[in-house]
Amino acid sequence: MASQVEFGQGELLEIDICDDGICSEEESGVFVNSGASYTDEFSEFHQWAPASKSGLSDITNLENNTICVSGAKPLVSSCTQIPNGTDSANCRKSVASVGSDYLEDEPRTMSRASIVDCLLIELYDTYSSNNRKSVDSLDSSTEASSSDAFFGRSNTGSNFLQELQEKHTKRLQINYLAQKESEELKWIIQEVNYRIAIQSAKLVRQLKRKDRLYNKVQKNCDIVTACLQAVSQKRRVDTRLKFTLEPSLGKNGFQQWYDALKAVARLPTGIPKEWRKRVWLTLADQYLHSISIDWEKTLRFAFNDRSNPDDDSLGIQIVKDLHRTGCSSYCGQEGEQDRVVLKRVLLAYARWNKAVGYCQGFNVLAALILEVTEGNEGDALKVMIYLIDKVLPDSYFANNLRALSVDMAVFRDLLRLKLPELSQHLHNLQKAANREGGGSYEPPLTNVFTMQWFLTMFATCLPHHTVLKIWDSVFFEGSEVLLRVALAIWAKLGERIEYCQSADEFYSTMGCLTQEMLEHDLIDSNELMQTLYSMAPFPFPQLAELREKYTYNITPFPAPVKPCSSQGGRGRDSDEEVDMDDEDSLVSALGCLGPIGGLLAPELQRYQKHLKDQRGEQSLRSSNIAELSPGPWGRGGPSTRPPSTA
Amino acid sequence: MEAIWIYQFRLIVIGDSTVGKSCLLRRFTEGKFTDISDPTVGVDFFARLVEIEPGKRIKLQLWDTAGQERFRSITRSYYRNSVGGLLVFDLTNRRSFEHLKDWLEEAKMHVQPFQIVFLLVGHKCDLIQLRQVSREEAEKVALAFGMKYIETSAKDTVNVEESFTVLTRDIYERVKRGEISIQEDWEGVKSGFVPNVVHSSEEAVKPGRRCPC
Repeated sequence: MASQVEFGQGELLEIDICDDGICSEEESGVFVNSGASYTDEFSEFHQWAPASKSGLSDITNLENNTICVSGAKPLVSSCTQIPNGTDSANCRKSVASVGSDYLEDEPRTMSRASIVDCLLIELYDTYSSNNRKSVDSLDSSTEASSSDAFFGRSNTGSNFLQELQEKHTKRLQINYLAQKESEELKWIIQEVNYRIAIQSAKLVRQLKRKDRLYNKVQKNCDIVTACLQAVSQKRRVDTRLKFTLEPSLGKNGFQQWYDALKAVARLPTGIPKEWRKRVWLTLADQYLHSISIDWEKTLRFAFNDRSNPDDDSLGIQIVKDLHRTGCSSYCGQEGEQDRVVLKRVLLAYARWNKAVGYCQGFNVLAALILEVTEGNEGDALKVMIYLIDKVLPDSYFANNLRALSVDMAVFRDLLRLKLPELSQHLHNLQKAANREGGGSYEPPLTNVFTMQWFLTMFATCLPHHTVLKIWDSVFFEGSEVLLRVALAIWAKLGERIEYCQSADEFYSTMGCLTQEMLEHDLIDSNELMQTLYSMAPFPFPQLAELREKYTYNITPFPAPVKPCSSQGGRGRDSDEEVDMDDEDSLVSALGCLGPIGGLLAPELQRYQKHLKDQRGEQSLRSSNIAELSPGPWGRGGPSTRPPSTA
Repeated sequence: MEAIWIYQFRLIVIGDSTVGKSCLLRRFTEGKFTDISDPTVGVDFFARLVEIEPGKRIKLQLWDTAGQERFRSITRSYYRNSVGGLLVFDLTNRRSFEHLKDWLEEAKMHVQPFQIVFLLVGHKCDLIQLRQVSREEAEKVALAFGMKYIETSAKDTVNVEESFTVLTRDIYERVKRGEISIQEDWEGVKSGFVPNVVHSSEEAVKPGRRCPC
């Protein structure tokens, strides 16, 4: 990052950069030197900070700047000049000292007795400074920083300004100015006017630039739309397909976005990994919005580092489990921080949904979500809520895992329908192990595996990139995707299983196969996804009936089936303002469009050819491109709800 | 398939969550130990051969279960076909010791009409400082339950091998004495066989319903 900014002839050139839309951070950094701000009024400038902390792509910086310049009115009122080079260090130091102060005035490690308190100490005191930071980042002012571009000119005017900066209150500043000679005041005014002029010019350029980028986003979105329509069934509903990066405002905005992204998820490339976080969060936000949640309040409650009044009702088991839980992928000392964050998210979810609380296996889910949300706890909680409360069936993890047991039974029926030979073979093995009489009972052979697959949504069973694709699909198509994936896997393994002569042999064979699935790409992810999309129309025929049947069979008095609340079809309120985050993501997503926009067309051609080659090859893979387009289109047009999960 | 065995015993490992069931099994079957492992989701299974007497091998099919309460409705269906099990508690966690009775009752209820041979295992004996259950106390409980007691540590590899062989030998003796019989319709104990091959060990003399010797 440039350390010193020269004002003069060249200064306007600095912003005249990167008309092609790609710009490096160094370039943008020229006029966004970071510094520390000490006053709250200065928050407008926070957004001038380089966006690297927030993990957005380079181009976001530029857009950030553009937007904040418009808010840069209190030029003179509250900036402190800090020598370049030391500012960021100071800033870090001050953050650190805040952290340690915080630690020091919490000498409660020993005094607490309750098991909940012990957990809270473990989760919040060990890494409190870090926690601070991530909580801050929730309200989008990640870092205190300012542009010192204003202080670059060394003349008397800026000396005055500098002194003025050192007066921390308005009153002191007024006093300071009141003491000045009129000559000096003229200098100051001149200086201020000069700076305003420069910033205005920059602003104009940035706005123009923003316009250009915006048009580019539009153009690229249109390209994606065209590609999506090209691979669609080209029915009338498909012509209404329109791709946007974010749901547009208005009544059908969300549904339009949803349909388009669902179509993207069905492409062989799937959702680009750069979009995933934004896509998951948009879905989660929509859900939270639909149930009218005050998210800020929820966050404070869920991530409270003191015990909440009803924490004790969480039950000792949860707290005990959380103490010990971890994730095998976070190992060693370096993993300690990740483990603590993971546990905070798990506790937060348990506080949010006491009926479900903590279930063994959640650590796997939360770890994967945290990875996608780049370690942001609040975002991870959102996604977790959306996944467990909305996407997966009720009682999947609670209530003695009843819905899970239902799905395991439903799955065996589907297996019988789709893979009758394998199903029969497994049945024979079970029966042989079971023989009538004696009251002995060998549980259905598939259970051990499907249980684990469903509970961790394949996160522990398949390679990472495949798992993410499956999760994308689950988010858009609903929980039936889990059943489809399981069917596709058994179909693939079938041949090797048919060699097994006994239940024991089946289990040991499966021991090897599960290893191969996880470590050796036994299951090709593209093939898997294609199989699951093409095996049956969406929603899976008879699935709802089967689920209902087994729900009623398992207990005589089942809870009423969850009504399918409308998730789609509801756009954002039009009075909702487009805030910084939305702008950021718009542009960061644009960054990803570059490769995609170009790659998509040839990729699609290849895909279509691939499909042509395969056509008529297999029964499970009907492979008609038409069947790969999202199901709801065929049924009720774009306003159809996404598949209900009830 | 793999090596020849004279019997196969199906064993189940039960006990509260986080007492170290999976670690014990992993140490026994893979020789590995990790400080942090993912909690067991549902049930998991392992297998290992043990040599009980020179030339006499027994295949152990080991079922690991999730300790969390809510999994019990699912894991209990795996009791039935087990001939024995490790009843594990954490020496540093008194509560897990107090829950032993519940575990045993649950297991006995679901294994009916068969019997199930248990070994009581006090795990994590390496954590001497944190110990909350004394050996005497545990032995007393084991006596009351009518089972043997052993203290283990998967971390320091203390008594891991022994715990499984003690249980295996115990079951083996009972099978020999005819207290446990091999039944065609029960997976708990199976006489040795190699798939697709005629019984090949000397034990292939079909073990009678009563006593194989």
